[in-house]
Amino acid sequence: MTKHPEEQLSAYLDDELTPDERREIEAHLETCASCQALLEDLAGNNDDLVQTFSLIEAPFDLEARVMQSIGAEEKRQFACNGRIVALLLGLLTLGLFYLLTGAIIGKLIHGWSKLVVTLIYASSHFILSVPALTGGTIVLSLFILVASFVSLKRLLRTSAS
Amino acid sequence: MVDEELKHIIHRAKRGDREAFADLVQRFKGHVYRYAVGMLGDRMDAEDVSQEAFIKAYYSLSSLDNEYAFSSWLLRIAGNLCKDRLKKRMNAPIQEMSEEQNGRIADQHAADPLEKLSMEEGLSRLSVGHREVLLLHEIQGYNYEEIAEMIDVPLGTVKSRLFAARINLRKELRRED
Repeated sequence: MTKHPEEQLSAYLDDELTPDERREIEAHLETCASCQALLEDLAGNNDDLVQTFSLIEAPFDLEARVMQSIGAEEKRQFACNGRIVALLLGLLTLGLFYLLTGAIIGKLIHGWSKLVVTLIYASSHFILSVPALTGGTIVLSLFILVASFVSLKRLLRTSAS
Repeated sequence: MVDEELKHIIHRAKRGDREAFADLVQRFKGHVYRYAVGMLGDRMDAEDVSQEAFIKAYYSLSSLDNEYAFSSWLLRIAGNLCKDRLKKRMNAPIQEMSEEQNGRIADQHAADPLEKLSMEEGLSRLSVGHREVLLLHEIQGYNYEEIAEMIDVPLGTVKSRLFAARINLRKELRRED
């Protein structure tokens, strides 16, 4: 073998060669000092690497931190889902309330508006039937009209200046 | 080989048993953390990535078809997170790791030629692809075939990459000679 089978040396070290390849490498190693030295170097570095990493310990509280994050995330999702459910329930309740009481509320509003209109008619008749009250009302109306006019004029003047 | 007890724990965790998952974290945290330290060369980052990897694993455990492949699946998650972090750190995309492009990335900061490199420093000077195969083989104990499957490259690539990684590591460690 004229060439140094360096790449095969790495595979030889890992026991990833076929029996034939293995025999070939072993035969080469017997006669090649530089490949022997390289193999020793590579094996030594591997041992150092394994040794270095065997001293590295994972943080003791890693699982606690992982489980805490998962718990917090699930709580957040649960709260989010809870809020959506509450909103839907609220809307459902309002809908049901409307369905059950909608007709009654409509009738109530209608009745109240009729009553208010009737009261306005009645009060105007009452004012016209009493002369003193009619005069008083006219004077009061004129007073309100003049006061509105004066305040409006003043308002326009101040905003113009 | 994954023993039956472990398979049972993984099965329970898959069904949402948190206690079983905590047990898995406890059993595999060393593997994941050491791998992350090797890939990132930084303890703090490695802690973050390990935590992230387990959380990600928890939420995607249902997609794991084969319980026997749990550890390689977990390490693949951690490896991807490490690469994402390295990518962010470099602020430039990692190139597709072909053998030609698998050049040095970390060697930007010139070392003091008199200073003897520690194993961790030497490792950190290798390219991401070289570190990856070296760690998977030496520290995690996977064979060529398993690594080829894990990182999705042909078997021959694992062999040549591992060889190149060793030669480069040797070069880095001998620099002071």
